[in-house]
Amino acid sequence: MKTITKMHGAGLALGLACALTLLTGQEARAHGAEEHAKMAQALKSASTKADYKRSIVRYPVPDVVLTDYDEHPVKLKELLASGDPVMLNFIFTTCGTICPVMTKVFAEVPASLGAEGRKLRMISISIDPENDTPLQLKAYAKSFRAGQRWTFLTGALSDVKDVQRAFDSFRGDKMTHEPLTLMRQASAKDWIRIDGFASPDQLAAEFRKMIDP
Amino acid sequence: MTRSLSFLRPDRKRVRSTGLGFTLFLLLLGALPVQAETAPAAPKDDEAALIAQGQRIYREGIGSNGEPLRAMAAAQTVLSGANVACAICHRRSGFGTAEGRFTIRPIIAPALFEEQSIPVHSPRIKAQLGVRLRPPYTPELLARAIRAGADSAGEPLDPVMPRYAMSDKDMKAIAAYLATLSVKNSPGVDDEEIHFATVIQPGVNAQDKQLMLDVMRAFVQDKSGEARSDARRRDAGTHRMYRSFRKWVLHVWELTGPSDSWQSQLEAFYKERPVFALVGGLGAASWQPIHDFAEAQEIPSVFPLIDLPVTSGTNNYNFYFSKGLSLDAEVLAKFLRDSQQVARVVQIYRRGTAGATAASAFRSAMPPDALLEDIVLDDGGDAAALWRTAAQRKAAAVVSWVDAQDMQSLARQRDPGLQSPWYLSYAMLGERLPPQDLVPKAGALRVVYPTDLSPKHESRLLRSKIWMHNKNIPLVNEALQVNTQFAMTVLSDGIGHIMDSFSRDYFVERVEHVVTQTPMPSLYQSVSLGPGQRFASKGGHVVEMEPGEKTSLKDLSGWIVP
Repeated sequence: MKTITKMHGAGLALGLACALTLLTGQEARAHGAEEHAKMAQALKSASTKADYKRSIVRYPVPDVVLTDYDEHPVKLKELLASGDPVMLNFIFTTCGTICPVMTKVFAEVPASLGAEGRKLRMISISIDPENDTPLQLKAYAKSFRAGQRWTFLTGALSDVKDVQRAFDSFRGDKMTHEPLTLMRQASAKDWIRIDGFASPDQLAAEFRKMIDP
Repeated sequence: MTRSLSFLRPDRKRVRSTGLGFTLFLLLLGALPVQAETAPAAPKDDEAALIAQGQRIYREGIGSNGEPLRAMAAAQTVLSGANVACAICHRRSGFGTAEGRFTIRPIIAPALFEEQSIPVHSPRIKAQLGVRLRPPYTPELLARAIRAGADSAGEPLDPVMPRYAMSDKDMKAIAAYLATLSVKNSPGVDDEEIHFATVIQPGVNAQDKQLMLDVMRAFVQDKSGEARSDARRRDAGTHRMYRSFRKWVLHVWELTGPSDSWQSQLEAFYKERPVFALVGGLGAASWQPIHDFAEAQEIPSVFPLIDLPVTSGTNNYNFYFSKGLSLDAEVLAKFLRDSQQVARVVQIYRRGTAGATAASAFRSAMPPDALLEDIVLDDGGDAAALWRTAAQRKAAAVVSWVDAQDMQSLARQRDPGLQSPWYLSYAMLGERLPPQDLVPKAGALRVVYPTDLSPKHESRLLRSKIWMHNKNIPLVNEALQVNTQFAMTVLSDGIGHIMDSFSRDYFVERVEHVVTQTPMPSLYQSVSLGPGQRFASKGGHVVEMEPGEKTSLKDLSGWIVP
């Protein structure tokens, strides 16, 4: 398994720098110059932090049959080898902090990509499959206005654990999971692994780079 | 207001670029107009209304204008409504949580608004507290944290804390609510003792009652026995955690009379002796009145040992082992559907009993085009006639939602023999298998079964059985005794996790977390909970009893999660 890692954060840093400039008037009036300086410093230090980590990895896809929200069996290997580029994440529907963000990002990626995203297939796999029945997943997908090319999968607990292990995302318990996105060019061997919260535009940029390096 | 919030309207308009989007967002937040203050007519009512508004913002993410709140969340996404309700991360209690590498800080009233002024000399504790020492929040600082994501010391909050476009009116409401959040301990606990109760419906047999209470009392004895010397260790300064230990006191609330009088009986018990939580409990009738009481008084109820839990409506406080008979019905319907045995199905149940609940759940879970006939047992009805009817149908499946007694009276009818497979519910039979001599009475004798098969089952339950052995408690009813011990252990783990923060909501949130981690087994092969989840076991098997002298089960279905 080869791994290449790069840090990303320049985009956000620039954004926050602009934001600070505009904030100057508002905050200074509200809380005084000293406090403003403190906050400016705080936002500046936040802005220099990388917001996601990119690596290139190879994972063998386990031979499991999962279930989509229409209760159809789905062979994961076949779905991933469908000839389209894919993006994959792990979620569960009662998750509060990480999943709504991850799912909203997926919901916005197609619009970020525009015509370039026509062939993109997105997959969200539940890591709490016994609670996330097909019915539950369907309601969740609907609440994020998920389109036809976005598949939500559940399955047997042990199969879902195998999938998480295969993609090095199993952390022992659903509450200890991390934000993670994986993407792969159609029939490519390598996966692009994005650890952390990448924005829809950042994911779109990574996708473009993957399609047309 | 309209103009300044237009960016956050649900018009699917997206943030186009990372930097510019965030900039615009902050710019617009700054441009929110200040609302004119109105002179309060009746201060007390106004304050209560304001707190209620704040609670709705906190729990549901709905602003005082009835619109979902909108906020810039992590990864430059705009989320709204329930997805940015404070409670989704900080939880109903306000004690916060941990998810992945993210630690969600407590925002209970004392954490936000009180001076952090305890003199600390230990460098170790100082280092631990260091990150939490900051000035108390003022309304202005709170507004800044919520809108712009900086804490009271000016430190930036992690991007997982959304930046809200919140009106001044909503800001006042949320501040008023936060000032009340977990401001004091929940009832049922004082400086020395913590009180629990177990509820028993009328009509429970004396043996079951005794079996449950024996396990509970042995457990409580261990928790509160002088052997722990908690009070003396605390006074000697051995305890590092300030005063988290309480002596356990268990009350038995036995209900009498018709179920519509239970609510007032429970209220009377509670008035006389408030308890922190309910644990276990027994009864063959619907648990609805006890469920409603727990919801109304906001009392956590940990795993009653029952078959008829409440499966719909609001449930913040009632944890159940499973959906009981409704789950059995759904498991069986899925099994029949998947094995295509739905062409002709007959179901037998007794009117007005638990069986009727199962039969109704079964009907809803079967495909609409399935041919499903109901045969209803009535008092004094002729079991022989019913048996004959069922046999004549030559059904793909005869399902009977009956208890052990009705099963026996049906099976006593010798002629004609039932050619179809005969399905029964393990739960309805009192968590027992049918006797082996019933196997030849039908084409096949099959049972909806909630747990793993031998020998895995026996080895999984060993820990619980050894504990009972050591307490001189004979094993009489495996399901009841093992599940009682599981309920007590989860109660204990949950109480242990909250330490001296005696908030019932916080306890509920810890129970959601500890259930998968407790080493003590329940009857069920797989239990798990998560935020807001209230049913621990979510599946079942369909097993067939094999012919022969000794009871032996064949798993027909594997683990079905309907």
